[in-house]
Amino acid sequence: MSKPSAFAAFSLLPAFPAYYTAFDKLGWLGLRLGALLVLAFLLLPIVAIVPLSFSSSSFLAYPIEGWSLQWYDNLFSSEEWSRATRNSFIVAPLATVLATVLGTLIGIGRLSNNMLVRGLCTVHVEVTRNVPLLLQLFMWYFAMTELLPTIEDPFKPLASVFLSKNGLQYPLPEWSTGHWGTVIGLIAGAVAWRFWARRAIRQFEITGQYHPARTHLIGLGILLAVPAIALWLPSIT
Amino acid sequence: MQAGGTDLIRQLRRAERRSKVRAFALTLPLLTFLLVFFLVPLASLLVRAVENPEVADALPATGRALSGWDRVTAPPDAAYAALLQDLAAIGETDRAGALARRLNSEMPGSRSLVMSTYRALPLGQPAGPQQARAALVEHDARWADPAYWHAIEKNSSRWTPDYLLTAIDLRRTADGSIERVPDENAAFSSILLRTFGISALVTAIALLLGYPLAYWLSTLNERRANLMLILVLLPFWTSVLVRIAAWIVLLQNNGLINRLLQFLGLTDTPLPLLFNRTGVIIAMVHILLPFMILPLYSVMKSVPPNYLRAAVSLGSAPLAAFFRVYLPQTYPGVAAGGLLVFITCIGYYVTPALLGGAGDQMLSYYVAQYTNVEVNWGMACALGGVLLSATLILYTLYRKASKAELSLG
Repeated sequence: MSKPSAFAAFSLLPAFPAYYTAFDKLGWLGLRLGALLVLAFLLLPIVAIVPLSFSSSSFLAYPIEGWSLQWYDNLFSSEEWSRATRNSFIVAPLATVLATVLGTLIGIGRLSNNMLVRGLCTVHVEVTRNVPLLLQLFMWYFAMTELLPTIEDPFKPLASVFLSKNGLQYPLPEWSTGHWGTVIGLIAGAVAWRFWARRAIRQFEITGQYHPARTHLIGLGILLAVPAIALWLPSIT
Repeated sequence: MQAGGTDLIRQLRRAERRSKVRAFALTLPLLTFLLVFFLVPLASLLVRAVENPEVADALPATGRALSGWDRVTAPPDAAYAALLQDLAAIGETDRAGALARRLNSEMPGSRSLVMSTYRALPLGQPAGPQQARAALVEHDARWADPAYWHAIEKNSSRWTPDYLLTAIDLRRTADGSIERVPDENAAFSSILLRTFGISALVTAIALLLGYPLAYWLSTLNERRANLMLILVLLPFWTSVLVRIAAWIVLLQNNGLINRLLQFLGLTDTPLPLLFNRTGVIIAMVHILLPFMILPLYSVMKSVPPNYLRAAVSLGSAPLAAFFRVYLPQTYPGVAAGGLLVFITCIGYYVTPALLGGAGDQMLSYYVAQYTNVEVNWGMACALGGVLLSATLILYTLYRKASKAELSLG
């Protein structure tokens, strides 16, 4: 008597257990109906807004009088929109990567045996979650416009790195063919590090002695030393 | 034997100390990160709420000359001379502007008074205090009015409770006592109440709507539950601004909702749904519902269905079994979702600003107003501080309540 195909969720009216009263069956149906209504509430605005993007009118209203792709044309041709789109595609991946790295570290920190680490991580999560977003935004705005020094007198954490109200300025290397030596040197250094770490593990298997910190500090030295030598060699020949 | 023992103990101690130092060194980056990115900005924000540097920096001598003044009679001649001397020493116009703005928020009209006097300097370089008074009053008769001098005197100290007092609708009177602001000027306590009221209502509606949906999702098999979860996440992934635009389309006078209601004959004239409280609440519930559903769902997934079945098979009525067996097991989800939605609500700005009327703006609107329009950092920071402490108080109460609740359950 019901039309199962119209409502996918009702499609399989189960064989209710014998002890189910009419009240129970009603409750079963009511729950599904309620859940579907809430889903509809969630989806309605999304469904309603999409057709309007094909409207020829500039009013956000139904009924749609004519169809056109002018807004999409606008989106892809206008310099302003493409700049905004570009910004989105720069900010989103950066935020994702940073949040993933920091989130993983802080998440692991919350399970640490060290009380200080555990406490700090827990405090960070609780405070960030429980301070209203607006306050955090305001805090950043305040820090950037009021606390940072002016451009005339910037904060210099490193040589040629300037932090001021106008943002963070830092030098970027300008690419030239000579830099291939550095790139190749870095790759060679990484390979050398790997061999060094393997040697340490072989040593560990033979002697039972293992010093991960020392091994990798020396490895890091190798990584930096190889390109440095690669840079230095041409200058003496 | 004995010597070897103490040696071993010493070695052990040294090893322990070394590992402690190493562990601390490992936490240093985290500590610095927290300090630089959270504690310092937050602390300076709170300090800014009680800091009042403009007048103290620009008019130090005037402040000194005014100390001991009875605040009612005409200020001493020395104050006039000191004011001329201070104004002449200001140098940059920016600082004079900051001073004028600060005094203006205390006593309307001060901005033009200070700026015109500053530009007219040196006013014929009067020789003594009496001449200084004469020159200033001649330039602008308002300098004879003690009210302007009171504004200077009141703000000549570097620290002030005024912003915080204003943020909770209190003020200092001329004799230094604290009183309630008369009702027609009181604004912030009702704004704070409104902010928490809207947040509580949105949280309650989101819980009422989200609970059945999350429960139903948790009873589905995995394939179907994933499909339905995507339907929940689809609006969650859509930009808030897009969703607000969608609600404008739906809620306007000839929008889809009103047309449907009229078509069904439920109403003759379109219901006002936009630019009032109703619109704000509908859109906020819509935006925050996924934040409620997801924690509820993850907790409900972990509740074994056997308990409910056992309760029913032991003779409990289904509703009683739900309220006494199932619901208590989902309290962690209710608490997590409720807190998340409530805290997010408190800081809402865009939705009320775009969908609400003048009487539906939440505290964030006024923080933005003081930051962007009035450039009154002190007031903005004080409102932020009030919001922060109110949130922290509520959070502490919630932690206490939820712990009690959980231990009962």
